[in-house]
Amino acid sequence: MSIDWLTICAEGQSGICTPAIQIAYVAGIIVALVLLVFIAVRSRDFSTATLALIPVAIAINLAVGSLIVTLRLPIYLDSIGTVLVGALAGPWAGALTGILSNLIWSLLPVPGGAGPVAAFFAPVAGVIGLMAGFWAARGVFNLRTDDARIGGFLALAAGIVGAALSFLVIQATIGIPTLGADTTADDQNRFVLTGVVIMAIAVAVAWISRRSAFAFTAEDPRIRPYLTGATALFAFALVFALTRLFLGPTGWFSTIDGSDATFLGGLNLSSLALTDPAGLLVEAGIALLVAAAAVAWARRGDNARFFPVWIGGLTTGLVAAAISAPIAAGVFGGVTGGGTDAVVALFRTLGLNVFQSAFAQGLTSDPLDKTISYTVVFLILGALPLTVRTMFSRGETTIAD
Amino acid sequence: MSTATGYYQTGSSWLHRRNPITKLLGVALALVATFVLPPIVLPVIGLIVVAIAWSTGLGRAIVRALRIPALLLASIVVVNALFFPGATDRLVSLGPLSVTREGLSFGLISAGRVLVSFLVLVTFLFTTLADDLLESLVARGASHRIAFVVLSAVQMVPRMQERAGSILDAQQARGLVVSGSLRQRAKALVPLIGPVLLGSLIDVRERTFALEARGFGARPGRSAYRVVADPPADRWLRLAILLGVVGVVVLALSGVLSR
Repeated sequence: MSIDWLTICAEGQSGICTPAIQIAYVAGIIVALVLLVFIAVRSRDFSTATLALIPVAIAINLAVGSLIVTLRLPIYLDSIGTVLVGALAGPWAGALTGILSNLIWSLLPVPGGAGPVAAFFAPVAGVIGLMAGFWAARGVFNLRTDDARIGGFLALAAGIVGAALSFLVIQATIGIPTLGADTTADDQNRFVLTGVVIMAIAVAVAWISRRSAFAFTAEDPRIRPYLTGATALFAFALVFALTRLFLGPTGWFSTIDGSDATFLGGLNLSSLALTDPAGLLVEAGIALLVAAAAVAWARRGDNARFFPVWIGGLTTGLVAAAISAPIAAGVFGGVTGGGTDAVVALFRTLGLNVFQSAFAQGLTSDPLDKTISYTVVFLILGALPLTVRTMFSRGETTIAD
Repeated sequence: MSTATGYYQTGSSWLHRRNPITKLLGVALALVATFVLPPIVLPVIGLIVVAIAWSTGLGRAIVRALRIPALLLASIVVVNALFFPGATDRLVSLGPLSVTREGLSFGLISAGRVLVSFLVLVTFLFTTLADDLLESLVARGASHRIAFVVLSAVQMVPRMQERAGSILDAQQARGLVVSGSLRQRAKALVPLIGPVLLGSLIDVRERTFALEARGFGARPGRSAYRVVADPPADRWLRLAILLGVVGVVVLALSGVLSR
């Protein structure tokens, strides 16, 4: 018996090797099974109310998720029920909901189901449930706008911004090495090193700001204006980054200059790429308008309460993207039959390889998707009667105190 | 209310009469063989699965169910055929894009695997009553709590569709406009989806009380009301399937078929 097959195929390689896809299958199945066994043990402690809630949550996941698949939208929205259970009944119940949702989805002849695709993402769904429970316990669904714990979320947001800024600085100075198929070991080491440095900066920024600028006492008068400011800054950064990505002098539109006849039939859209400094002013202007609208919105009533909810959704989305990318790349080259396929195809035409396209698609879809899901869950929780919410073990984490 | 049979199609074929555990093992064997063995044997597995599915007399229903994965299958083939990275062997040029040999074969193999596993799962679902499956799993030591969660989740999807239908009627009777421009339809979404979601969540309370009143959380062991048939032939069949799984894994690991 030879063990030549025990090497992973490089991209395009054929012959005696194990395709990465099969490794992904095996890894996904093993992780899901281990999680499932662990949760089955924990499930002995679930109350009857929790066990009655989980099927309803699974049905919500499948109903909304298959609707989105039918509409071919580039998001998923198949974890609303998972986040809801995580919030009401704790992380382990949330993880069980997520894993069972995807496994059952794979078995039922509804859109997006009746095939192995959903089942392979069961570990991702499980982790989403765990994170929802974690964030609910940290109070994302019940913080008032004068709560001292808001400081933690502001510090976390500052950390994410710090990571993004350091990423941009490194890219502009020493450059981020690409991770193509022909990567040398040296490039890989440099890639890992830059990743570690960016993470370290994020942690340091979050830790320092938590203890200095965002160290609030209860009912601190600074919390509300800070929240409003953070909402505005986030809106500005998001819109500025998006417009820059598409309209900048080296942005997406500038790459479509008709030189590559295989994309969009050699269409020339490079005139849409605005030159600096006029373009910079236009992009900053659009972002400022959006930020001003965000300030007006956040000052009204308790609207700023959405900020922690969005931070929870955003971070869950980032983690989900990181876990799902290898699975998506392994399963059918990133094609899953949903509306996200168009996004993967777009990134592939831009010259990224399978894994990079899947990861880029995840980073585009997942944070947005989870932020929407958390917002929907927040609204549902607000509309549910108190007597229903308090039936569950973590129900008190959803009642504003 | 309609009886909760899920996707079960009534019949009396030889596959209907097998014990659910036997069929579950068979599904596992087919799935392992589909994804672990090299793609050369895929057509053979496919033919066997089609023959088994046809012998149950549900061929037409299964073919009708094929429209669900059609989009996924087409998507897998097309995206890979056109955008396979590193592919050089161009077969056909379609304007700006071209179909590559490497991409087409990867897409066809992936689509074939999805198609075979879909056929296996649908045949299993159509010939197996979910209650029977879970009853026999619980009899073999599976947790009745997990069994309840899975079974009621499977039955909840059609029930929720039913509820959505009656809420649609109720809101229309109150004057809600659900057709027209995109904006109008979007505006109708909240008064339609809101009651469906909140109603089913509020029902959880009633269901909890009903379950507790029937001793769902009680600790001592329980006896079964339904008795699932387990013909003696099934024991041998299960042994044969288990040996088959081992055989498939050994075959895949030895790499006999891949050169």
